Amino acid sequence: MTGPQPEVRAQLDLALARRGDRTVLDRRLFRWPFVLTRTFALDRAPSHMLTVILQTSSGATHGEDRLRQRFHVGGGAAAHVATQGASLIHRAAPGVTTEEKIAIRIEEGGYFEYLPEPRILFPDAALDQTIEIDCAVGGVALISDAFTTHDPEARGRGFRSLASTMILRCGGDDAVLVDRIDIRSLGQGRTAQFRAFGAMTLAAPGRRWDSMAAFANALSATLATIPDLYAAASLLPDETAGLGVRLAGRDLRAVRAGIQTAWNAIRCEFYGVPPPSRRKG
Amino acid sequence: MFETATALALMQYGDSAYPAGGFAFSWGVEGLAADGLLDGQADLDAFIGEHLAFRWNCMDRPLLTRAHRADDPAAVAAIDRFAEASTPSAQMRDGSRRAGRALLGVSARLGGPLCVRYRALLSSDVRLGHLPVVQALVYRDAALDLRAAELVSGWTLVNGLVSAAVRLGVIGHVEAQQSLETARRALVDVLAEPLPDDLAPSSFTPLIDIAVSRGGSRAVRLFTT
Repeated sequence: MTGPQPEVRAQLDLALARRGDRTVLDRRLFRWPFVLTRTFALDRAPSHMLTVILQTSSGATHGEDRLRQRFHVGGGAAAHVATQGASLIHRAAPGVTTEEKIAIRIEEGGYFEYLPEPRILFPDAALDQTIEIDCAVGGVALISDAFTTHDPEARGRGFRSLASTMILRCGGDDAVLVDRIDIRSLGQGRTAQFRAFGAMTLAAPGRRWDSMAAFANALSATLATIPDLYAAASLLPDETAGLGVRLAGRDLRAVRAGIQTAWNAIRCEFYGVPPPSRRKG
Repeated sequence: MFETATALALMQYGDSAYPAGGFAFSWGVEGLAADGLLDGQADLDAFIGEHLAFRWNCMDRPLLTRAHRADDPAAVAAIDRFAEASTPSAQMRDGSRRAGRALLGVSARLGGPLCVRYRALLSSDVRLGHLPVVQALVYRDAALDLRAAELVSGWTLVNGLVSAAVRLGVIGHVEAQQSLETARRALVDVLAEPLPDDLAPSSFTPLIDIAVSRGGSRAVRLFTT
């Protein structure tokens, strides 16, 4: 859409809080297209982690959608949020852009993973998404964002536009990270051999690492062993805030494998063990 | 067209012999070649085109534009800090600051008043000194208008990429001239489109970013980036 738009009430608004030895949903508001059923306790470490699987009743995102999600993670709470399946972004009419905004706030001592399945951009899709994270010192956020393109008729038609902005603040007004892409096509030459792309951001401001740079280098070396994937980890701006991972895959499977590998390594760094399988059927 | 004095200034500042340490940076050429993703002139030309269209034009160019129009050193520093936040790769950030600080140092020693003032700020904030921001100050001190500043900024990038490819043995000297001609046309196309004033800086060069970020774990390398 062009021009200023009225503010949209969040269709999904979750607050996660620590209650004794568990994390619970302290606020659980959702409406179309989001659906929330039961939550899960799948992890041995940390044992208080709550897993939330988001579903959508629409099954896809359409041109006129303006979606808002909000997550608040209190001190001591730990949560993993995923989606049931890949998010299909369908065509938008000329002059119309699908909008999605996700706001995440993590208090000191909170731990939050937001690892949705990748987006699949259909021909003439136009998406503008923003993920804003405010992670207090002593909190942890792990966010992934990945996409690929797909033409069901295999006619080589592309998406119309993709703008994606990740903004990270660590308790202050100034953004530590503003990671933005704004494209109307994928690259040419060797880049055209890669069909899926992803980014992960680990924010852990104030955490004491033996060597975050050594962890990033080791993670890059592990990612290099995954077939059909080109990826690397690197320290975020401020260089004490956390690290980012860039992934380019010859297909979506390779990017998914890279995200899983990075997630395993980060869980091992924080809790000593990788996460249990969360296969969704 | 540019006046003679401006054209001569463009040649001076766009010359690869300008003593600002540009030869130390390959901006991904070395890493891509080491990882088997850059092998010969066709690959190089494609990556130069990608650098120009998907990074320089939408990230460096708007930052340079803002800094060229900035009123005072504090406003320039705010743009510089934004450049830092907008560059997720630590190795890319480090390279941009090192290249920018080297360029600023040369201009300050030559007496450029904006550069002298801005250089005094750098010790107070390690995030400052990114290349496109510094280029704006250096070229303002050289009395280059924005159009000329964009031209020399884009050209020094192209020159640096081709020069790195020659030194790495990816292409020969004759192929280098062919690549420069191809890149010249690409730069003309990019510059033909004016930037919207409100353009939010962005980039999408995943392979280049990854190649540069992997630099920290390479046993041997010739270039900083």
